Amino acid sequence: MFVMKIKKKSILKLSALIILSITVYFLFYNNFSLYKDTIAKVDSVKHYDITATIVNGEDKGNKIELTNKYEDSLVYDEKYNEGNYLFVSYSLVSDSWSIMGMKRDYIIALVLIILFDLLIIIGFKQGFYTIIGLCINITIFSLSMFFYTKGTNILILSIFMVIIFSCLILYLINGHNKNTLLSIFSTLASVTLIATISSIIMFFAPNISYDFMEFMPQPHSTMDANLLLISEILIGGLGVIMDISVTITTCATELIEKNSNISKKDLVKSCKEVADDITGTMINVVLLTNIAAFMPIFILAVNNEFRITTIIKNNMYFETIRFLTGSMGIIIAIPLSILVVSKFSRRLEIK
Amino acid sequence: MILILSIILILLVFLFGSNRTAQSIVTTMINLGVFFCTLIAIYLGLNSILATIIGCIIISLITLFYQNDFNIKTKTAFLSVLIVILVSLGFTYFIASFSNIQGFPVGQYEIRQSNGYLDTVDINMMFLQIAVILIVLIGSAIDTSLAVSSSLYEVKNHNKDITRKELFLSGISIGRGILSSTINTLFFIFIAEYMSLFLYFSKYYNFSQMINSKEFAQEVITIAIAGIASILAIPITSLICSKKYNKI
Repeated sequence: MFVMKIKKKSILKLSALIILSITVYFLFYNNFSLYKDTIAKVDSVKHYDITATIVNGEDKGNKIELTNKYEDSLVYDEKYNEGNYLFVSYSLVSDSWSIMGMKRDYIIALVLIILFDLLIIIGFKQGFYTIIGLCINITIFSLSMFFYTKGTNILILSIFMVIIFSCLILYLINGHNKNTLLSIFSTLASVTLIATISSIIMFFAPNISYDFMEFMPQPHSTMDANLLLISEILIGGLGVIMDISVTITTCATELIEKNSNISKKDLVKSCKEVADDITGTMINVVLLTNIAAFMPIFILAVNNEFRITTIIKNNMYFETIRFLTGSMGIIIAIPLSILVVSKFSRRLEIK
Repeated sequence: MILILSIILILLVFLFGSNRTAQSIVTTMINLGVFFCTLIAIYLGLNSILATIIGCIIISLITLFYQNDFNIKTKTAFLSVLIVILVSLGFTYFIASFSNIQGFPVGQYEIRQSNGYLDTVDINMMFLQIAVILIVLIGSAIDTSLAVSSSLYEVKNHNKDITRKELFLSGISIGRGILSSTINTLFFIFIAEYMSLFLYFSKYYNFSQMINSKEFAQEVITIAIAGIASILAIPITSLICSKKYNKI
């Protein structure tokens, strides 16, 4: 009887979630009136010729003819299909419509909705907190980008972001307790350490060539670029370092609470065993996520007979730096977390 | 700078790490090699998706069986990684072909005909984009699957008469604990990777241009699919464990 009740309740919640998701998706799918630019829906595609119907603005309902030339490999071009939505603009000079780009917002919404739904279905409360954390983080990140356009230094913004991000996420994961404070301590200490090491190397090493950093705002000075790279190192390592800090501080406090006379050697040994289980796969995650985006560039460059070593040296440079500093973060975070717990754990208890 | 950083990393491993940390650095280097072999295979004409799937399988084999041991925990993790790859492949194909996120956005890369370079290749860029997404998701899928399968092994060892359903549910609840940190790890690596892109957006684009642009779509869709795959890995691994561990 009781089980039945729970099942009924969860089915009800699940269907509410699905209905909500579908509604949100259709809101995004049909949000043409929010755009000032003219949007057209593709009716039929015949090779390069497209017929489309305008779906918003003054010309709503008009049928228009468009041409879209593309190479089969689609390196820079896009190939549109029936049902796609395109941004179009009218040119008085040639008396014709041309394609400005594709409407992708509803597809992004669809993927995010599926991600959030799965987080809630599998993760329940934790999943919900993760979503809230993500949303707040994205807001903070957008705010910092806004301040950047107003002229604030990117490194100062990143340092603020790192502090806010780590406090917020660790509080959301653990709640307000001793472990949270300890893991915030060790996270910030590890991030500071890898950023300092990288800055020192950057200062002494030969000047880095930033010509191959994608989307680098032009013009820029070497100093700007250096600051941006340090900011990337700070934020890129944050996720894994937090993960390690939480795991180690939880483990170490547990051990100290169970046996307050535990020797430092035993503490280090037990914590290292726990850390061993996670470092390997984690370093792997850092590697694969950083280098994956390199694939299309590699293919295009090799096709143009660039030497492989040149491509790696130029185009994989920043990915490699982020991978190396991220892995350093993982390895440094282990002893630092143990140190923080063994030094501060007792002092916090007196409070 | 890369050389100095590598030396420091290796020193740190010797100072603080154990043998297994050193082993994981070796594994990572082998995986990097596999990644390049995959790229060269694609360049030589092998279908990108096929090459990447083979690459992903080799990466999972090495990460699970070389770095960890060959035992029932890693075997179940491997099986569930395979299923996750298959499931995500279908979904990724659907989304990627739907959203035109292949290739480079106009203005991103310097190799163009106007610079005297060929900007056409005989390789399907759509497939290549799907390959990129697969490489990103394999890392977090292995991480999650292994975490769930080895914790469930401990659970089973401590409660010999646990039922299959209970084992499955405890797998889900273990997964919940690591969910948030996996999603955050992915999120921060991506923000860092594309920080210059976001600076570029905030300078030159308005909001509606940004959310409809190819660059933004590529990035958000890749990270979201990686997240989806690592969440899916939780119930899939729990289910396989609940079936396999009962035979012990």
